[in-house]
Amino acid sequence: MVDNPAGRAEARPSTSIESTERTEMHSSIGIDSKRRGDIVYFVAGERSGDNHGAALLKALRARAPTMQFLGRGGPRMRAIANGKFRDWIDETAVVGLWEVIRRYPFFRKQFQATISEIDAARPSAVVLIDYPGFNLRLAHALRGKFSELKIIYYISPQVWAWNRRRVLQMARSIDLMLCIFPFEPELYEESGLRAIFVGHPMTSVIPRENATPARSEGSGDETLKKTSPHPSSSLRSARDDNLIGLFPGSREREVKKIFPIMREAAAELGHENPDLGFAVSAASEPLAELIRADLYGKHATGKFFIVRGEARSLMAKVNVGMVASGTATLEAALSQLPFVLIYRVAWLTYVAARLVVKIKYLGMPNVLADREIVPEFIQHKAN
Amino acid sequence: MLADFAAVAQKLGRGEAGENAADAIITELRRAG
Repeated sequence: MVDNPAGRAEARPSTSIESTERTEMHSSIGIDSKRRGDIVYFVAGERSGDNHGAALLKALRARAPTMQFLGRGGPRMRAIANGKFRDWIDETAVVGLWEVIRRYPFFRKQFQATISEIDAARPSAVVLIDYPGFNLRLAHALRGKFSELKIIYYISPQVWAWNRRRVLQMARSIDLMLCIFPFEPELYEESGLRAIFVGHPMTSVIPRENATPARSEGSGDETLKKTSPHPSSSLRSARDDNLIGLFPGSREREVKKIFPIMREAAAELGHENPDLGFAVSAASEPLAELIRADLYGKHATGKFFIVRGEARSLMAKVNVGMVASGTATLEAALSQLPFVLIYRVAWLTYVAARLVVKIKYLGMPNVLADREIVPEFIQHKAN
Repeated sequence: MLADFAAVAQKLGRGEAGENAADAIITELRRAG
């Protein structure tokens, strides 16, 4: 780890009055002479980040009751933080590059306001939660202004998959990366960025028995055998044998590209087995509309029904699935749902991605297993 | 496939990401002090 990589700005000098005031505010956590050790500033910009952030704040509150939480996040974080914590999630939710460009002035203003708030609060640390488009730029800007500020990043961005040089840039700005995949610390530390694996937050929200490791007979762990059911037992008993789940993604362009492939495959399966039904997961009403439009007038569409916004519970009900790449592949694996991965993008995007992506597999279960435990049907193989 | 999924789940921890992250942050703040 490089604690103070070359190129960082010098600490801003403070007056003796400021130092005295801050010393009086120091808590038992431990502090330096310039920053307030009882204040931590957080930035989360998405619903998922608000959920992860709320769990983090709750755990911090239990460990350091005098710690003050400032920053920006969602309603769950704000409820725990109280005081000067801004709920800005509804303003920051954007989908697609065009919307980001259209709202650039808004984000620029929020970016500067965040820096000003941090400057005024003088926290001992800033914790950036996911939201890499905003937070990585913020880390860079903060490091340029406040060399002594601890910058911690929670929910490691997966930039190692496509741009290792970006990790080098991150190492110059960030003090500690809290990783959610076990292989990530090594990748970050190669670039001099100290990193710790803390576990994946999804294991907190998917029923515990799903994440219990399968133990072979004679493993010697009798306690585990007695207290933990086989992962497939309780969950799989609740499934509908004749129901197949289609999870075509959470973005419009994904659904447009991938759902027709899933629909055709489902129709063939339905032709072979007339008892089968197909539950299509739609992340939002606009996506449900897209799916309805695709199904309209097609053969055997009576076998399809759309389930809006309930992907996780749907994964617990269907017998097998077809899943577009993304977080859903991990959700499916943790839900013990057998599935195939289907993904297709525009050819230009595919060619560009092949040039920069450094990983063998697209599905995170396969990346974690380092072999193809889930069949991947990508681009020309998805037909 | 299900046994493979269980092995993947085991690699991801035991639902304590928030707690572990909090411990790491507290340690980092103490280290700074």
